[in-house]
Amino acid sequence: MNTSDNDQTAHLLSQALHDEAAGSSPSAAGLAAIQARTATSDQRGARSWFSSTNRSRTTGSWPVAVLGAGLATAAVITTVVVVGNQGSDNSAPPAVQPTTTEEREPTPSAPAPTQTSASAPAPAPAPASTQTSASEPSNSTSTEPSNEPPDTSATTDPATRAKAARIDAPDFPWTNDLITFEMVSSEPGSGSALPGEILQSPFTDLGAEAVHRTDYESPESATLAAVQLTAVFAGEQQAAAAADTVLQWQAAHDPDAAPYTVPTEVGPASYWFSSNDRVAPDKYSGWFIEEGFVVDDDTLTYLVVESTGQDYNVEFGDEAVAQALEVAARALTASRPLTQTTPDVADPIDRHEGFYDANAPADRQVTMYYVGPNGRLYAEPHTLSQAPDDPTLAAVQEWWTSTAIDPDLAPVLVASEGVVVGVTTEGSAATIAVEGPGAPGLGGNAFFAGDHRIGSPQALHEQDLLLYQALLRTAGIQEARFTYDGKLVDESNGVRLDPLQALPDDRVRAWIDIVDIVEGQTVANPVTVTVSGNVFEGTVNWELYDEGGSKLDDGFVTTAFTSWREADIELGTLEPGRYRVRCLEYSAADGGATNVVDKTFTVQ
Amino acid sequence: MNTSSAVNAMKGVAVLPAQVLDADDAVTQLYAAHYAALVRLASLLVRHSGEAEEIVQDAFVSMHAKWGRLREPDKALAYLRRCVVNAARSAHRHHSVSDKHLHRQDDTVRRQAPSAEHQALQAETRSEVMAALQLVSQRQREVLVLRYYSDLSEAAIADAIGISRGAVKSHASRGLSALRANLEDQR
Repeated sequence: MNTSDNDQTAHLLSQALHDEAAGSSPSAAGLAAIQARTATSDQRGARSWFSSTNRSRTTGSWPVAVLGAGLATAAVITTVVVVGNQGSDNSAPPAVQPTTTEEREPTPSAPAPTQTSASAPAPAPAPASTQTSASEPSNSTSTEPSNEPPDTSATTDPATRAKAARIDAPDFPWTNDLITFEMVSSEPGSGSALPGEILQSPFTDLGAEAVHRTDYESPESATLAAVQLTAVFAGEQQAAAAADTVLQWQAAHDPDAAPYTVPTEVGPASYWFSSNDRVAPDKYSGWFIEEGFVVDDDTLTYLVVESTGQDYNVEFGDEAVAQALEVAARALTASRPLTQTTPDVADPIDRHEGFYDANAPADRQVTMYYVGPNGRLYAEPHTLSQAPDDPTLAAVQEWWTSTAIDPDLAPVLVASEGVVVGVTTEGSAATIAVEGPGAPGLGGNAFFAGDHRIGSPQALHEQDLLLYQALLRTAGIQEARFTYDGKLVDESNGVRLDPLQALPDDRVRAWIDIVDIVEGQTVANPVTVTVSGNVFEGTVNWELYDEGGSKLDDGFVTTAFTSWREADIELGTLEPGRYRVRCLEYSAADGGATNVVDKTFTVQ
Repeated sequence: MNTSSAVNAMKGVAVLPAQVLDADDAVTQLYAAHYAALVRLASLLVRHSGEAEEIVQDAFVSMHAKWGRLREPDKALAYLRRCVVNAARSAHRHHSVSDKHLHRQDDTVRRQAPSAEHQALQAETRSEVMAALQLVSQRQREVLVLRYYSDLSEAAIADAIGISRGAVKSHASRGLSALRANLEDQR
């Protein structure tokens, strides 16, 4: 390809685009249509293209008239034809037209909508309270003071908690095992357009102190997508009021269909079908938009799952959104502030949150490795409370007992009550000795457990394998054996431990990692962020956002390709406040963002 | 380069004393200045022309609802453009399955072809280019349309799509290369 070729192609393209556009004749009635809709825009704002407002988008009627009558009826079709995204072949019309054979009554325990008017209720007023966030910038240059018990700012900050409650993409369920989800974006706020059909205004308008939105898409299905909005409120009452408002919106949207409920570990979750518009012009397929929410104390998670199919023949309680709400409830539990989750009984393992003090002496600094959302290992420096006699043992113990500062990184959850009592090194190999009361947990010899243990045996194996690889990197060793109460442990959940070998960088190391600025760190001007990269052409793109999520600046730095190299991102002098820096790579295949790493920081 | 008045409007210099306009007036003014061009932009991004107007109307309705909260009302056109690109992207994604099922023989022929004989060759070329354009990635297509139809700067394209200026360059270059390869494959 040379410049001349591109010029010629560009000329052809320009000509074609203008000719093509000239054939498009906007109707003269456009303004009238907009005015008619904005006259009632207090009821509904603009939504995604499949919005179920009364606009005429389709050109024919749905083959089963009842589908157009109410949302809950989408779930009552029990005659199995095929479901579009569940391995069916939609290339031909269904041999059997869907028929309604069973009415599903709304669950009696579902909260009764308090308003059935077609007009949407006004959003609840924001709470008068202006509770000071626990995330106010500190005056130190550390994430937490080093000589005091770690505070809980990392988990009481509403924005951090809202983010921490998101569902990890591998955990996002579907109605079969063939579909997986990928996290395509995860940002503070509600996004540029509210998802789904029900929400009338952002949760911040309902008094939320922080909102975090995560979008998921499926690589197996171009029409399958999901959104999670998590809102943290000042208290339980405010969250309950927001939930009531959502239920009123749902009732206004569809007065004839009360929500269903599904039990979760934090209480019943409500969900419903909000749309079943047909996929024009294919008269045999329709959109299914499932929405629902679950509340845990002061936090509300709202989920929207969009899919297509010819009908929806999933058992009650197994709907994608119902399953996702159960997973979301577990994520909510994990995101609770420590003050809520600290057990009364003494934990035999001295668990604590990791912290970092940039000003601490070098002999108190250790580098932990944790598993990131994309299944790669990310580094995070921690500061020990005192200089250790045995740095390798101290690093392993810190890794074994602490949580990552960055909520994007998966926690290490030890299944047994064992503690690491010794690390004996011989060259690049080591024996890690674990002792403690009780037998090791899951699987007889498994060391690791927790809420992350969701998925197929292969997925569990991969998760454990990565955890052990993270441990090896933290210890700085290439090979390890484990003993539990003096006995050699040869295997754990399919991971061979006799010995455990370190995998090469290409296999496990994060392609892009922000290695200098630690999540939540307070820094002084001028601000420099160091990123490590091994990406196509070495180009790591970066973006800087303010606390409200507005992009302030962007650029790129050159790292390396086929090996890792660090580069400095000079952000210059920034006004005091909180910021988020994002590093990413644009896929050469489709231009999508990939290997995204975010760190928030505060400028003094 | 065929620079139409619509393109000039898209570059547009909307005269919007935003501070004194209410939402209704803003919609009216922006509609007069940019509606047609935005519809044409949407029609190039979605292959289902009937939706182009609806997407643009959605954008106007959304802007109307948020007019009082727009931090920079002077950038209303940029806001509209971004809404259109995002909605077109969503529509394109949602259409992929139905298109796959329909096996439409000629997806690009959705408007009446020019009837004059001397336009036949040009129409054929246009059809080939538009068909080839559908084969490049969504992000590349967005960049190419905004660059070669809307004639936007790299910065404006970056703002409309939400990517960096470097990525705009990258997508434009790779998109053109892919488009040319697709055209060669067709011939």
